[in-house]
Amino acid sequence: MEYLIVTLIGVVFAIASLVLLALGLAIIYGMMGVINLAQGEFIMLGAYTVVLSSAHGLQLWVGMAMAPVVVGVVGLVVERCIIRFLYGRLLDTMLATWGLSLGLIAAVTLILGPSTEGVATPFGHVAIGGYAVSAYNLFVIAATGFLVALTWGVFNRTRFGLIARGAMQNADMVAALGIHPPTIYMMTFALGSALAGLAGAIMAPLTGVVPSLGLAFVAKVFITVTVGGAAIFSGTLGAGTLLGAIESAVSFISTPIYGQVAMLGCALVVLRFAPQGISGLWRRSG
Amino acid sequence: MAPAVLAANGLVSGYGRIRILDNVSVSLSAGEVVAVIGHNGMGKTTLLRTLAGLLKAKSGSVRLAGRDVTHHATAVRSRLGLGYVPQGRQIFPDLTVMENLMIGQAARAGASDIPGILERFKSLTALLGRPGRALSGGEQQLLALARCLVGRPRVVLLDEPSEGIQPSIVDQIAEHLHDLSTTQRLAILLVEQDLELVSRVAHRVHVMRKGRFVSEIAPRDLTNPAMVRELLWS
Ligand SMILES: Nc1ncnc2c1ncn2[C@@H]1O[C@H](COP(=O)(O)OP(=O)(O)OP(=O)(O)O)[C@@H](O)[C@H]1O
Ligand SMILES: [Mg+2]
Repeated sequence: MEYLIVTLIGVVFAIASLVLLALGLAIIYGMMGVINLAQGEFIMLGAYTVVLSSAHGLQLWVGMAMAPVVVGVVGLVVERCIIRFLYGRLLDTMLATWGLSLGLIAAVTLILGPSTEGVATPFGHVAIGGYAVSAYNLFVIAATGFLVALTWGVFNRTRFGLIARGAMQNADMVAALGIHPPTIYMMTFALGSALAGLAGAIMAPLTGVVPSLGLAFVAKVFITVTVGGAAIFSGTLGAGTLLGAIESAVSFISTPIYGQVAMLGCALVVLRFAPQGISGLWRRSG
Repeated sequence: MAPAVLAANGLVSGYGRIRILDNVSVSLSAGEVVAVIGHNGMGKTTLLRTLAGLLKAKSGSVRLAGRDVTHHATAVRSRLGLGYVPQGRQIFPDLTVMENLMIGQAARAGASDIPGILERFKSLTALLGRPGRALSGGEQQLLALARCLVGRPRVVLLDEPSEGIQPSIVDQIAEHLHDLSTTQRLAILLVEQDLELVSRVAHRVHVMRKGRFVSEIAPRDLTNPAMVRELLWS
């Protein structure tokens, strides 16, 4: 029984971390059709914000609160300087953000050095029967739930969210009603960047922080968002659940390498039958 | 003559290298309903999209309430009082009727006009929670008009409101247009192929052919089918 609970927590944690990491890109992709290949580096910058603020004696939570602000501002600058000229050009944005990703890795390596940094994992462990579960993992699950709910609220219960959903469906019409779509795109991109920064900050205590950290995440994030399709919330939650469950289940019975292979295989199968992602399935029928 | 609410002069526009609109001028004063008739593909929608700023004018100018808006973005024109009800209605399909109306006034400060608008468009009241895509064509058309009006425009560009819509709703639309122009002094530029509707609400009618205004006629002339055929075709 306890074993089952512990395993289940492991699976839910895998799902939650996938959703947490993917949420920012899901918004950027779902709203504007932009695949930001530098999203991994935004995650990395969030993690470094925590590392640096801790190194300066600040509490972990302060660093976590700063990360979305710092990375949100970076996202804002990137949108103004690069992305806004490339909306509607999928390949061009992918190329530009890929270049940006390489540039950010190089810049961080240059400034902060290539060594692995880290912050201690807070909270210790909780005992479930004879097993010890990292309490921080439970925090990650809770934080993800909270963030998904909060973001959902922003998109479904605020004026900004209403306008953003309208712009996603018909940008010309939104403009004809007096709202400048580029402003909405800019804010959405910054929001998606801030979420990536926060995800990186939350994951920082669980990983070694290196300039190439983003590369470890970007493939997973990209796959989750592609499998999820255009519907931001149902798509990301659906894809995160499917892929996270398969990855952790296969990792559990074999090794994490096979877990990632299984996840990729699953993604390929899904995209073979639902090229628009799983949310394309219920969008079409709905 | 009353000052023009909307005045376009020598508009030229098109898609890429293709020139569609060819030196079109049009002007409306408050409370005036001006119609544009013409066959499919003659450039009527292109004219409205250029006036709204969704298409860039290659030359010519647009003035709105005395202000030159030729180089202003669509959103700015809208905030200055230019309403647009596009062909095909373009309701936000995944937003509810209420949300469609809320977006209509999102750019405007001040108290909500939605209750007042629902007073005018009573049939929408029962549909407020429905997604836009689940409305009939007629309901969508009324919603599109209502969504535009909650933004309190001075002038409305209205593109083929009768297209694919049953006669009873076309009647309703005609009554709304008449009432809006007389009691609210709204200026309306109406693109329409239903000549019966045009003759009921318009004060002046432009005939458009291949991107140009070829003649201006009085609405009563529309009841003479031979003359209309001559104007539209020859
Ligand atoms: N996006 C576009 N790209 C290229 N050409 C276009 C585009 N939209 C319209 N056209 C062309 O411009 C011309 C005028 O089109 P427009 O939509 O203005 O006609 P219309 O008078 O509104 O016709 P209808 O009565 O069918 O709505 C047509 O020849 C059309 O093929
Ligand atoms: Mg048209």
